[in-house]
Amino acid sequence: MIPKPTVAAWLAFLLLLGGAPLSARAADLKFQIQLVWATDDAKPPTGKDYKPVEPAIRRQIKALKWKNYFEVRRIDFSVAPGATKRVPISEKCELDVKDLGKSNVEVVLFGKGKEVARVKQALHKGEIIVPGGDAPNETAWLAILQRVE
Amino acid sequence: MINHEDQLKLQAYLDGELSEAEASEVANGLAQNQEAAALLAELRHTQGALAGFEEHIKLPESREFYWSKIQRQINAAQPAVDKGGTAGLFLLRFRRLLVPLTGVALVAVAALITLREFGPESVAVETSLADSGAMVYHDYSAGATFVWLSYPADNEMADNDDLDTFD
Repeated sequence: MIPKPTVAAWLAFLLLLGGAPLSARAADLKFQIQLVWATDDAKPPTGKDYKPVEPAIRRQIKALKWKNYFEVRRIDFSVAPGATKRVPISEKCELDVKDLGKSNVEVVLFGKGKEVARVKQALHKGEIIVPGGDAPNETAWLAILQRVE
Repeated sequence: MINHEDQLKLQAYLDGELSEAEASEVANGLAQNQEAAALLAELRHTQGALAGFEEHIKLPESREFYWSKIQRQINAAQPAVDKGGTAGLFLLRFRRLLVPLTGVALVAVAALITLREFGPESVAVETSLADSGAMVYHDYSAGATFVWLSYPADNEMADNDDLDTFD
């Protein structure tokens, strides 16, 4: 004897049929890179219209001891689920960002085409990974990679 | 000894299925063949015995109506196939699949939710530094990871008059 499905069973089936793919679909990860010049000078170099970094970012990089941080450039990009995105941040420097799923990312920093550093970790919304280095005259460069979404 | 063909002819004679000429021939033969006459007597006796036990059932309705009721009962047992044709057959098969499919979908969604909610949340922090002068620092309270490199080296930076070192 064939069991006769109830209306509720039909509704549940249709709901699951439509809902499962939606819940399974992961969204793109959105990132922002801020190229920042760190200095003890009060103002950006003459002729450069650099703005101070936002207070929220300033708080996140409080471990660094420069007095001022100026935003040189900002790059927005997204990474599809499971994909890798290469983002050039200068002529000499590139970043690879790979989505590993479950908010995990792998960030590879390239200098002059060669891998310099590789970091694999969880990166939740708002968190940052900051490749950086010393620059002339007691200054520093930072490439602040922040997960936006 | 009576052969098989003659036995059949005797049975046909008993049932009145022979032509008049054949029946006359058989009747003449019986007068001369005692074995055939005995067989005919046995067949007649058996026929009489069976006829006595034959059950006569009287239906309360006509024969056609009686069989039409049976036909309706058969149709009622297969409604989708007989009434719906191809579409009905599809619905019947789909109904058969609906219950197990719903079960599979439920299990799949439950597994998905479990994996998403209770699966491994994050990979262990891994760092690999090709730059021997580099270091990594995690400021968990600020949600920040610093990868401090010796690249670009001071000399390379010094080559740039412009302080926009990323260009």
